[in-house]
Parts: sequence; structure tokens; C-alpha cells
Amino acid sequence: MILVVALIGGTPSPSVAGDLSELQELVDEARLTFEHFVRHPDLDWLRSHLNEAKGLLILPSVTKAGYVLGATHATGLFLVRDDETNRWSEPAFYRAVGGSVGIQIGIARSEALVLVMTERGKQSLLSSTLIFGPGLTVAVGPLGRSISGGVSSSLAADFITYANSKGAMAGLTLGGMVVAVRDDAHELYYGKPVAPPDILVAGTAYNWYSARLRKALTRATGGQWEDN
Amino acid sequence: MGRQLIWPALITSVFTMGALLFLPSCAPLLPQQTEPVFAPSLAEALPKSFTVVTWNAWHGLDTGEFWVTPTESPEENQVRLQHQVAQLAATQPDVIFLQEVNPLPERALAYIEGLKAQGLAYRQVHQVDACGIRRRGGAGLIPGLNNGLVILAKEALQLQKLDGLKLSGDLGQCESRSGYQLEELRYGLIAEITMPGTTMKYLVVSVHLHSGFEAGTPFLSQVGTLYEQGRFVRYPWLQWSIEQSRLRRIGELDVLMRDLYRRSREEPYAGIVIGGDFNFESDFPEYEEAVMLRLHDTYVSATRSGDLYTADPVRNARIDPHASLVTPKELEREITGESAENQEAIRAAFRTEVARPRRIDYLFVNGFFPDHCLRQDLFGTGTNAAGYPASDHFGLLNRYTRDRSSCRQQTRPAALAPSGAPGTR
Repeated sequence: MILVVALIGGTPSPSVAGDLSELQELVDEARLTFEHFVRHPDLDWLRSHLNEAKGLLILPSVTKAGYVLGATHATGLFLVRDDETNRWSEPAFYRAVGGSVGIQIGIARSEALVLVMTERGKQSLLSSTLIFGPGLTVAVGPLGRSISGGVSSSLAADFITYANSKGAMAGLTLGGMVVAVRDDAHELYYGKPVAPPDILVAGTAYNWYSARLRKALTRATGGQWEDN
Repeated sequence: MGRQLIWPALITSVFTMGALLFLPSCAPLLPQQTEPVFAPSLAEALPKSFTVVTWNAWHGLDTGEFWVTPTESPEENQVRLQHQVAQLAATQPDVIFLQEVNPLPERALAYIEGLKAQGLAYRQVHQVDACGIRRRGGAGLIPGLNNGLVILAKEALQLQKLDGLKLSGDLGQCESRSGYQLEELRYGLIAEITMPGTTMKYLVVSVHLHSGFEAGTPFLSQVGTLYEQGRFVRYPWLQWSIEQSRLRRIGELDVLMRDLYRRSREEPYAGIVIGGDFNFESDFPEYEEAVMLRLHDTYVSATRSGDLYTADPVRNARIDPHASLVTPKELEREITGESAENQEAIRAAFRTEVARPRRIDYLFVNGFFPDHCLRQDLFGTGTNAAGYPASDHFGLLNRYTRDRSSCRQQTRPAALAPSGAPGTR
């Protein structure tokens, strides 16, 4: 595990961002992923509890590949909701990797949404690297229509996950995954070196290209959006 | 004891290998790039007048799920081509965006020849977006299916194709005379023109976005009311199907605009003009997407008369009057469990919907002749002796002129993006 963290943290930052178009593509894909979940007829619980989330980790492309030994890789965005206005922050860029062992073969792709339901969960993603393990609780989001009520005791979790693989809704296994900030991507996307707290809390970074994503989130949580 | 020692090492190895599988490459970081801000168009360097047409020329095919069949004889098809050429020659647009040009590349060349016969010199570029299965240099599995996008421009504009950019669809690839297509594919035909006597270049794009189950606000409102009355239980699933189509078009717009922005970062283009059949109306989320992507709908700022419906079953006899009798399979699937009375009410709402005139073709711009006066009209409304226009769509004609005497107050399109100052992009 330490090695994984070291590998992610020690990766030379300039090498992963690619060009601006790739980051814009990730922003666009995140928006479409969000829409796929939030508009799905079977995800009533998600729609009715989205405005309780402190933040949202959107992973448009989760790839699992394995042959006995398996690996998971995802890139995505994390955005934070303002409790008072229900407006959403600019996105911070993250990468997630994990490994597994067991009977497995082949490659599978899915998209995932992780609702960050607690302040503890939010703070954990503001640090440069997060390891999903003991101390952080994860639950799979409920499926189905007309499910009402607050977060039940079984969902008193730091993170609630949804995954969609070819239209089949399920949860995402986060146990053991390592999530790391992509500082290089931030510099390219925002035009200056900024860290997640600058983007997500202080709001000192801005890129017009994220407006469509932020507007979609803000509308879905009952906030008012004003075009610039 | 042995197991306790081995397992931590094994787990560490697994995670390490997992991470190694996805280690990024060590490509150098590209230089800081500002967002695309177009080079200023110098009004005095631009022509005094400039005209642009977009027109879905209609492929003349009856499209089933797995097959297509011609709906007109070769002779009728030629007569329709001549009718189109005559209207283009009468207007002499500087740039012409066409969709559903069938077949390619022959039909694109036929436009060139037809215009040449009228003493007009044009260049063409094209991109097939519906090819079926067609081997190189040979016949296609589905005869007559090789149609798509064309741009024609006056020779002096030095039209050059930059790309046939795939906007959506994974299973297939259409080239000019070959290709395979196992699902619906959508492309954007991207080219550039250079203003005569200047170095000013513009990106010019012809597109035809995903069609799918097109349902507008009146229909959704009507069936939404039936849902609230308990007369259409599976309405949310129908809504979901419709939203899939909308999200696909949004994705297509995103792919296109990312590519155009990248090009404008790499070369000093003076602006963009995109003409096409977008298959959405101005109150759809796709339209909002286009606006938020810094595209300006020229309809909004143009002097015009009327609503300029480009898909108009009332005025256009080419639109199949029997189409309304066939309800889409998505709709039939969701109404199966309803009573006969409720099913009929839902089908009636659909029939009303498809008989409604709509504006689904657009000329979107950014930085394109921003200081000229603009007039927009329908194009291709001329009919033959039997009362048929030359296509099932009317086109749009934009006339830009420096003469502002007859120009109404225009809204200048928003700048493409704020300046590239760090942190403010």
C-alpha cells in the first residue's frame, strides 16, 4: 500500500495532464456521467438526497483489468457544494488506482458517482492522497423508484457509491483504492498552480469551461444558477 | 506464521502491480495554452457582402432500422438535383453547408459541375456519415447508401478540408468510398476558408447531429399531464429514452467544440461558422449547451421575418404525411400496459407533435462578421410544378452586408471566452 502511495505521489506531475483538450473532455464526460445517474428513472434515492451531499466525486471512466491479479484505474473530478447557496465549486482533478487478487480475467469499464456525505469524507479528499480503508465508511447507493425518507442507518456512511456498467446500475467497491490529486492538471486547467482547497473551498480558481457541469449540479440540487 | 508473513507481501505486490499497470507515460508537458480568443476580424478587410447557406439536401431514402430504399426514381432524383442547383446558382452563396448529400462523392461533384454550368466556380469538401458496409473501390452491401456532409465555397475562398471528425458512434468508420457502419455514426466536417486578399482564416463546419426520438416541449407537457393523472405510468422511462437522445447530441456538440477550440489555440483563426441540421429546438438543453459553448445563433441577432421553421410539415410537401401514423418503438414499448383509451391519447399527442413546424437547422457563429449587418431568410422554398420543394428541409440563408442602413439593432455575439489571464479562464 505504501508503495502505491509512493508511486502516485512521486509521479512527475508534468507527465499526466496531456493537453487542455483532454481535461476539457474529462469535464464534459463527468457532466454526461452525472446526467446519466441523476436522470435515471430507477435512482429516486439519489435525486432526493443529492442536496445532502457535501461533495461529489465523478468518475466517468473506471477501468478494471485483471488476470488473477487485477488493477483498477479511474480519472475523475471532485466538486464541493456550498451549503447555503447549493451552488457547486469548480472541479478538482483526481486519479484513483487500486489492486485486487482473486478469480478474475478480462477488462471491464464503467462510470461511477461517489456522494461524499460527511465533512470527514470531504476533508479526506482535500488532502493530496486518500486511501479508502478503515476509518472511512462506504455504502452502496439504493436503487429503485419511490424510495423516500432520510439517510437510513445503513447509509450513515462517509461515501455512497453508484456505478453504471452498460446500463446496469450497481455500487463501486472503493476498499483499498488510492485517490490522488492531479496538481499538474490543475495548473494546466486553471492557468496557475492551485491545490484542492483553493479550488473547492476558497474558490480562487475559475475556468469558464466548467460552467455547464457546475450548472447541471446546481440545478439538480435546487440551487440558482446565473450565467456569467 | 508463514501465512502471516506471506500475505502482507502478496497484497503489497498486488497493489504495486495495479498501480504500475496505470503508470502514466512521461510525455513532456505542453506549453501553457490560453483559451481560444479569435483574432479580431477587421471589418474593412472583409468583403462588403457575404452569404452563407445551410441546407439539409435530403438523401431521398426511406430509412428502416437495418435497410434503406430509394423513394424516388433516378430521373426524379436528377430533376431534384437540378432544382437545388438552380436555387443555389440564383443566390450564389459564398459558403454552402449541405447535409444528407447522396451519394458521395458523386453528388458533391455534381453540385460543382451544375454550378460551373452556370458560370460559377466552387470547390467542395465532403465527409460520409452514413456508409453501411462498403469495400474499397467496390459496391456497398446496401446499394445507394453513402451519403453525408458537404461544404461548397467559392473558389476564391481556398476551401480546404481539415478533418472529418467523428462526433459519436463507436462501431464504424466511413471514408469517401469505403467503410463499415454497425450503428449510427455522426461526423462534423471541418474545413477552413481564407478571405480573398487577406490572411484571415475562418473555420467552417457542416454537421448533422443525432436524430433519435425527437420530442419537444408541447408533447412532453401533454404526456407529462397524462402521467400526473395516472394515465401513463411509464412516462419516466419514455422521458429517459428521450434524454438519451438529448445527451448524445450534447456529447456531439462537446466533441466538436473541443476540437474547434484546440484548432483556434493552435492557429489564429478569425472565427467559426457552423451550419447544419442539429435536430434540436431552441428550448432544448442542447441549444443551451451550444450557447454555453460560446456559440451564437444568428437567428437571434438577424433581421428576419417570421419564425423560419426549417422542418415544416405545413409548408413542405416533401415531409411524409404518413410519418405521423407510425409511432416510434420507444413510445410503443412504454405504453403497452396502458388502456386502449390512454394509448390513443398518447398517440394523439405524438401525431400533434410530428405535425408541428420546428426550427432545427441553425447557423451558429463566433467571431464571424461580427460588425456586419445580418439578414436571415429561409432557403430552398421554391417548389416544382407539383408543389414539391427540392428537400424535406428548408435551408437558412445568411446575408452579411456592411451597409447598415437597413440593419436593425443587433446583439453582438458574446466573445468566445474571457481573456487568457491566469486564473480567470
